[in-house]
Amino acid sequence: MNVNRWLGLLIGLLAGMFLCCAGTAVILSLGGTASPVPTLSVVPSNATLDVAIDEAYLSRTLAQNAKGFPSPWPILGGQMNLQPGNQATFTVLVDGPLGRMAVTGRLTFGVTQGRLNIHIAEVKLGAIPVTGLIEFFVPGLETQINAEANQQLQERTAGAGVTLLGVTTDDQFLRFYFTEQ
Amino acid sequence: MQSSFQSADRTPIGFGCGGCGCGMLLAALTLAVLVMATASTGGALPVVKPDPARPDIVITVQDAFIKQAIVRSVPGGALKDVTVKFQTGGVIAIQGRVETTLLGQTLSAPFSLAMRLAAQNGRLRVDVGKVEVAGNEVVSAALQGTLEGLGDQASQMINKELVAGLGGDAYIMDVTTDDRRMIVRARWTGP
Repeated sequence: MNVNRWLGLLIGLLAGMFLCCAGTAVILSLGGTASPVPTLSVVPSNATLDVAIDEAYLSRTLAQNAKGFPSPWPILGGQMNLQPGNQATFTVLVDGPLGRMAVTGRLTFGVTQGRLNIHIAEVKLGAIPVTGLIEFFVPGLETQINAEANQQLQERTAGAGVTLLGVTTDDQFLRFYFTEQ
Repeated sequence: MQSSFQSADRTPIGFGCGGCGCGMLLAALTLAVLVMATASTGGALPVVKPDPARPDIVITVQDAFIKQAIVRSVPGGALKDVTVKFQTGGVIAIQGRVETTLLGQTLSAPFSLAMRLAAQNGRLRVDVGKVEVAGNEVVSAALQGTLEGLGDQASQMINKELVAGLGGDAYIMDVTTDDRRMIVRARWTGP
């Protein structure tokens, strides 16, 4: 065998691996970095009504409704874990091209001008961050989640005539704080 | 000539292209293995079953909210200077003045009433107890039926709001009060 051919093969092999790694790096950079943990929200002093929803209920709701969520791959189930500091981690099982895989991530909660603001702070496929790719695969997911959550809040609190002031989380509860209008 | 062309096809460039393809495949396989090793899971997530003894939702109401609701429930702003005090055992004591205009004269009388809130068959039950107007207790045998009717009306009104807010499958587990607030615990009985 000609030495030049072996050399060509080796250079080609290295170039191919480099190209693939560079491509992966570009994709991962599109995945973006996780949003910083939000500052701990304080309980609004003028709140006259607070509604605390248990983590187990949120987890059950996520598991029951996960199949209907928009996703590039079929969703098999999910669970949510509330944490202090206006955030929650989630795990969603998907039936991906490489088999059953766990997508993990972190949501943050806030209130802006009386509206609940849910932010997808981080999404990982295994150890690989894919946060930025969510917008590519499921465009408008965050907007859709926020629209649905706020519509439900509005429908459920319309009779009570209250305005949302703030939201906090601890290990067990997601708490909404309201005051009368 | 043809022999020369075939020979040129097996040059190092050809091997390089083949190697490049192999390299990309190898790197892609490595990435796939990495994803599978970290994301792949054979098992299912643990199923969180509802616990009938544990509330799904806890609603904490301050006295200012009840006060506002009471003032709003009477049209024309007839209730003035309303104060709400929580007592233990689900009791809420309400005081204030009823003000009305009759033949151009403004009539005003202080009132106070106590009502007890409790959970009954998954719904809120309101029992109106002691009622005083202008310092006189107005509970009598004749009025007892009226008080029960008032309690029923209040129960219906509050439960209607609760169903609107929590849904028809909400089950009120208990109602407690301390000196600062009222706490309602509920769970959802739906799937």
